[in-house]
Parts: sequence; structure tokens; C-alpha cells
Amino acid sequence: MKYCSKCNVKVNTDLKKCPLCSMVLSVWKTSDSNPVPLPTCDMDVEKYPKSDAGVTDKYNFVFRLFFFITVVIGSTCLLINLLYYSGVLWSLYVIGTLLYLWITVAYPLFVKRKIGHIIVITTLSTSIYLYSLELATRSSGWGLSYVTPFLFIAATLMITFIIFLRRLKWREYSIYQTIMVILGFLPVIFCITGLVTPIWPSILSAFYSFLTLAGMFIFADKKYKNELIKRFHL
Amino acid sequence: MTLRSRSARNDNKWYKLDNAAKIYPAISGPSRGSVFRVAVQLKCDVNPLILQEALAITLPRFPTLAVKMKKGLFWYYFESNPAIPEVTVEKAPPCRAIDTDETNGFLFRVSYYKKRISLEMFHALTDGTGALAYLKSLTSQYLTLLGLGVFSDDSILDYEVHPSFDEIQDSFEKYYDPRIKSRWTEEKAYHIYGTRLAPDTLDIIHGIIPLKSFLSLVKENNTTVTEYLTALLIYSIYSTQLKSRVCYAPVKISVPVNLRNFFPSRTLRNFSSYVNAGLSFTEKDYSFEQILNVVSATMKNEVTQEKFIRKISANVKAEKNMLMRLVPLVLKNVVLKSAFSAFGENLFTCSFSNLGAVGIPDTMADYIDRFEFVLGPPVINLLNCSVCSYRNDMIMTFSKVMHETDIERFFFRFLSEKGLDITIETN
Repeated sequence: MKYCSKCNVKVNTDLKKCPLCSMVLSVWKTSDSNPVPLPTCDMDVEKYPKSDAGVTDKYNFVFRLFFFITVVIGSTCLLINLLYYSGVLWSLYVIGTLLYLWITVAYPLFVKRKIGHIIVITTLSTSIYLYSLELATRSSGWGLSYVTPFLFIAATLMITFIIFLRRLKWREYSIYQTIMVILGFLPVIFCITGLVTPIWPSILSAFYSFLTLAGMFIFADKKYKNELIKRFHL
Repeated sequence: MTLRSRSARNDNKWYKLDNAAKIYPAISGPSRGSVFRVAVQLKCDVNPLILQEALAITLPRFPTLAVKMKKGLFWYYFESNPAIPEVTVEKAPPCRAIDTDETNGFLFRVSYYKKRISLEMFHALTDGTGALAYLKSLTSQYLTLLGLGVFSDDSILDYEVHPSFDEIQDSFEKYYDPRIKSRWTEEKAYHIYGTRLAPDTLDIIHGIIPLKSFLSLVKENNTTVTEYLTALLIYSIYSTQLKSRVCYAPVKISVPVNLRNFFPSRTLRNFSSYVNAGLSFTEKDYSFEQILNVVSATMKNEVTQEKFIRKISANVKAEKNMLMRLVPLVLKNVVLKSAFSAFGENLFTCSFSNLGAVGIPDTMADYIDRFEFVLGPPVINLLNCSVCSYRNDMIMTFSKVMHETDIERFFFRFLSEKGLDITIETN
């Protein structure tokens, strides 16, 4: 136990200087002529673990490296494109592709997410990416009409498989299954608005979604309903 | 409220976040933990294996703590967590944000260091009172497993008794009044200036004050412990930073109030409100007595059941607003976050939380040195204070993210000049 004569307080931590005023501490003697009752607490010297100072880096080096490379490629292409402009903004293809790669490759690598989450994100971003390519190249008739519905079916099927494989964790995945089922009905809207020409893949996607939904209610009715209430409570 | 367990299986239980809890997930992250700590210091070193066993035994008694947080489309919710939390050795800094990857999804952390058992709690789960109730049950079970006896008393929740519905309800929802029209209107407060510490550090200064002599000092002034300490805190800030300077922004201390004292609630979830007490220093000189009078008057005026009903009604009604409810969680978080950064910590200069006297069975007292209550680091402000008392000692704690120590120095020197025998501890 030490003592600071300036602050008139005792200091119960192993320090050379007073934590309040930085005065050099003297040793507190209990055998004074005027004994002061000690506080009931035990005289521990070290009350707290030492801080291991080093602040951890939130993003690691690999992340920063890839991010920098992306910026270099993207901005270089944009610069060249603008300097030698020939009527086509071709650099947007490059930037769009880089963005797509970040969402589908880098995001799952760097951000810790559930596989269901990644499947949903990948499906959605691939559909959007292909549809914009389709629009940009004016080669209509493949992305939204064929790829998107089949991609949705494949993703729904994949999540169904995962639920079967990891039955204990079905609750985690049922929410992604629900999202995929809702997405699976989207192509029907494309049919109605006339965005897709052969409508059978879109109808098939909606039908498959319907079957999956029916299966979920039939095989896990109460539990599934509870899960939906939890996730969607207002 | 709303314990919805339609299935008998334990793992299917889920809870809505209580009204006060709803803000915390939106505003918290690695840099703002919203974590506070209650700790107990025993007379001998903690045995981690036995503490782990005590934790596993007592946790099921506290179903609203044994949860993980999940995202719904509109709100967060708590879901029973079947895992068992791990007791860890304490790591610096205290009250750092809870990383659910480290805690098996739990939103609290039980750690030990030498003689101390610390319970660090994410504020969305419960407030100081709820956390202390759990810490006491855990400690008593720990001591029992050590073979030191069985401790039971009104002051401790028995782990063998089934939790009552009262304990898991959202009392805000129970006691609010839907007819009350109320708005939040508060003035921005003065902010302490100082040099900020490096990130991920928290300085803690405990001052151990003999309770009896302090109480007689408080009695002399015809006031209460909270009022006296709040006034002294304001006086310390005024004397070190504002003296002979005109400052129109008021120095306001946010004092949390345990609403269980005003309503017949036994909930173990959040149930506290706050009073912002303070004044602006527009004239030249202020004495401690002057400040104390203002603080006492504010407290007498504000600390009443009607005022608290008014306060909680505004919050519960905001939560129940259909428009607010229909907004997806992602957007809600943005709204809450920006509202909090606009108001939140700007409305007060510092927090001062009084946990009160910690009561335990007399037979248990032989094994316990003291209890500590530490608030986590503030983000905009630089300083938080808390106090709790146990038997003969009162422990005042400054948790701060600034280098300067003027305020604490003034604070403790003031008390020691009043003849109190103060012991300082620091990390």
C-alpha cells in the first residue's frame, strides 16, 4: 500500500506515481501513531491484467491487396477508355465484372457468412450480372429467360440438400429456403410483363418453388411456421 | 413480455428484445460495445473449473440470458442458445465489445482474474440489476461447489426454482400508458475536453470510500448518495474545466434509475430509465452547495412514477408505431443509428450509475471482499462513472478514455478534504 501526500489518498496498486496527480508515492505505514483502519479489501497489488497493446487490424493484408488491385485495374481502364473514347464505354464491362467478382468471390472469402446466405447472394448477383450483360450486348433471350429460372431452381435445390444433410441446423437454413422460394416466383412476373420470350423455364421455376414450399409445410409444419413467426414478427 | 414457446422443446424459445434493449444492437459494433461489468472479488483465487461448473448449473435458471441474438426481417430477437458459455481468463481492456464468435453466441462473458469473477454484459440483455442478480447466483453456486455451504436468502435467486414469468417479461410494455403524449426534448450538453486514449484501451480508477463516514457526510447535507455524488461530479467538471468561463451548454449527468423501485416489477431484463441532472454555468462563481441544491431539486422533481411513465410511454409508443414496425430491420438500424448519433451521448456530459448497496446472505459475506460495477467506455464522451457499495465500502469507479486525470483528482481530493479515508486502485 502506498500513499500520496498531495491528494491525501492511499494507492493500492503497484505504482511509482500517483494515478491522480503523478506525485511520487510514499509507502503507507500502518503502524503510525494515529492508525487509520484499513479498508476490508485484501491488499492485492495487481488488480487488472496488463493490456497487450497491439491493436488488431480489422482487414488483413490480402484484403487490402486485392482491393488495391481492383482499384488500379478499374481506374486504369476508365482512364484509357475516356482518353481514347470511341463511342463505347467498354470500361463499364470491366468495372461491372470486377464488382461481380467481389460479390461472388471476395465477399464469401473475407466475410464470414452462412453458406445459405452466400448461395442467395451469388444467385441474385449472377442473375443481375448476366441480365445487364444481356442488355448491354443487346443479345436478348438467354439470361433472364433461361439462366435465371434454372439458377433459382438450382439454388433452391442446393439449400434443400443442405437441410437434409444438416438436419440439426435446419432452422438456420429454412430462412434461406424461404427467400429462394420467394425469388423462385419472380420469373412469373417477368412472364407477365413480357420480359422473357420462351416462358416455360420461368413457369418451371415457379412450379418448383411451389413444390418446395408445399414440402416444407407438409414435413415441418409447426416448426416451420414458428420459424417464420420468429423471423417475420412485427 | 412474449415468451412464445409453443413447443415443449427448450431450443425453440424466443424473446422479443425489450423496449430499452432495441437501441443497442443498432448502435453497437466493435468500437461501441454497449457492455458493462459487474464483478465480485473473493478472498481467494478463483478456480476456473469450478466456476465453469457453477456457470453451467445456474445459467438455465436465467432463460433470458442464455440466448443468442438473431435477425428477423423487421426486428432482432433472442433465441435460446443450447451451447454452454466458456469461462475465460480476463483479458484487457475491461468492458470490450462482446464478440459472439468467442462466446459461442452468448451476449455476455464470464471471466476471472486472480480473485475476481467478472460478468460482462451486453446491455440489450439486461441492466445492472439483472446482471447483479445473475452474478450473485453464480457466485453463491460457486461457493457452494467449493464446499463452503449452501447460501439461500431473499437476496439471491435459487437456481433450482423455476424462473417466474415476472422475471422474463418486458416491464416497459406492461407499465406504459398509451394515452400519454410526450416528446423527447433535450438540450445538448457540455462535453468534457481531453486527450483521447488509443483505441481498445480503457482506464479504470476505483476509489474505495468508507461507507459509514460517507453516509454521515451525506446526511449532514440533507441529501442522498446519488444526489451528492452527482453534484460532486458536476462540481469537479465545473472546477477543472469551466471555472470563470461562461458556458451556455449545461453540464448534465445522465443518472440511470432502476424502475423496479417505482413499479412492482421483478424482471431480469432491462427496466431502467434515466434522469439528466445538471445546470449551465452562466455566472461567475458556483459553490458545491449551490450545485447540490440544483441537483436535489431536479431529482425530487424528476424521480417520480408519473415522470417515468411519461418517459417510457414515449419510447414504447415509438416502438409500437405501425410505420416504424413495418420498416425492414436494415433500414431501422440506419434510422436508430443516426438518431442516436444526433442525440444519444450528446445530451449528457457523462453517465453516473449507482447500482446501490449489494445485499447477499450474511453467511456468504465471509468469502466476499467486495463488488465492483464498471461502465463500458463512452464513444463521444470521455468519461463514465459508476458506484456500488457492499458492507463497509463504497466503490466509486471512473471508466475513461482520456489521459487527463483532473476530474478524478478533484473529485477524490474533495472527499479526502472532508475527512474521508480514500484508497485508489487503477488498471
